[in-house]
Amino acid sequence: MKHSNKTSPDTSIAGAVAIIPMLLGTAPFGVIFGAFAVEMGLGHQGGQSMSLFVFAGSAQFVGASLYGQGVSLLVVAITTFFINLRHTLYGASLGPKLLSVSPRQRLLMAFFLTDETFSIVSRFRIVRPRYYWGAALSMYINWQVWTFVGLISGSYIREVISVNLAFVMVPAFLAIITSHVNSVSSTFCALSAMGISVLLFELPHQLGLMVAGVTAIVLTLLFEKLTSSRSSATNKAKQ
Amino acid sequence: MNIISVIFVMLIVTFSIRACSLMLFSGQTLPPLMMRALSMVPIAILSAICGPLIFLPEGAWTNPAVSVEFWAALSCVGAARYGMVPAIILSMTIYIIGKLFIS
Repeated sequence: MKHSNKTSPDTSIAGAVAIIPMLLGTAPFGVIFGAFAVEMGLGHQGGQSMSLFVFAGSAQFVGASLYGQGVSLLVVAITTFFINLRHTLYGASLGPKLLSVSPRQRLLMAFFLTDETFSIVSRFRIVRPRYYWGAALSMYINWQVWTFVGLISGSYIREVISVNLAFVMVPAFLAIITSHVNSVSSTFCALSAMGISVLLFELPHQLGLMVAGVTAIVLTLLFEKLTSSRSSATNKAKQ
Repeated sequence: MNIISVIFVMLIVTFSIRACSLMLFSGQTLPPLMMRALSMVPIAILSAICGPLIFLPEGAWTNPAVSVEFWAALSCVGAARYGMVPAIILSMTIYIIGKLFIS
């Protein structure tokens, strides 16, 4: 798996354009979340506020559901923690790519770090702040708009959109994965992550995603070490 | 439990997770093995997100040969060499047609 040697463009427009496929993919989610928030009793202000201040798609669905069930704040905190745990890997991966970015700006960037924004900016070895902001703010505004549409349209739209909404994001993610996959080891990493996540699907709070991701990375490192030692042994034998 | 406290707790937890790792690793020169591992994060996590959605679309194992999700995903991977947008359009077209007329 090769590192991308590219530096991201230095304009916010480029970031906003790059994330357009993700905007289309998350639109139905936003609508459904708005409708769901009303159903769970968050009200219009509560639903919109959750999108404004939390800005974490799947965690918002679960948070709204837990609020509807009237569970304790501790349960909300623990559940949110586990659902968003994969973001630790996003931050760790993105951190070294953000050169010359002040700590204050990094803190702001962290608030807007979602699956979609990460998938777009992670293609580059160095990420320019303007590019990040273009992508991240487009996603944020998009999420607010579609949440609002869901809040005012209520359950009507939820009934109309009956397909498996979660799949809407898959083509965009797959296209990004394919652009990253350029060697045997990266193919191994992608396939093993998929396989393990399928096996661990039953784990609560989407923990399977995190475990599958970390396990696939460790397995790929071992795979690379094994293949490189084999090839060096073969070269020695030839000499 | 009111909605303001729920949102506040979720905000603190979500932001802390995102901010801690981003701040901790920013501007640091990491060991090569660590950099190698982190370079695989996009592939590993995005693949982990996609896996169950492709192979367990209804929450249970579905034979890929008869799964609209699988064929839509496969077409996306095949078309990705022509660019992200064509791949997404082709995949979504197959998915929607499959859902409307086959499933």
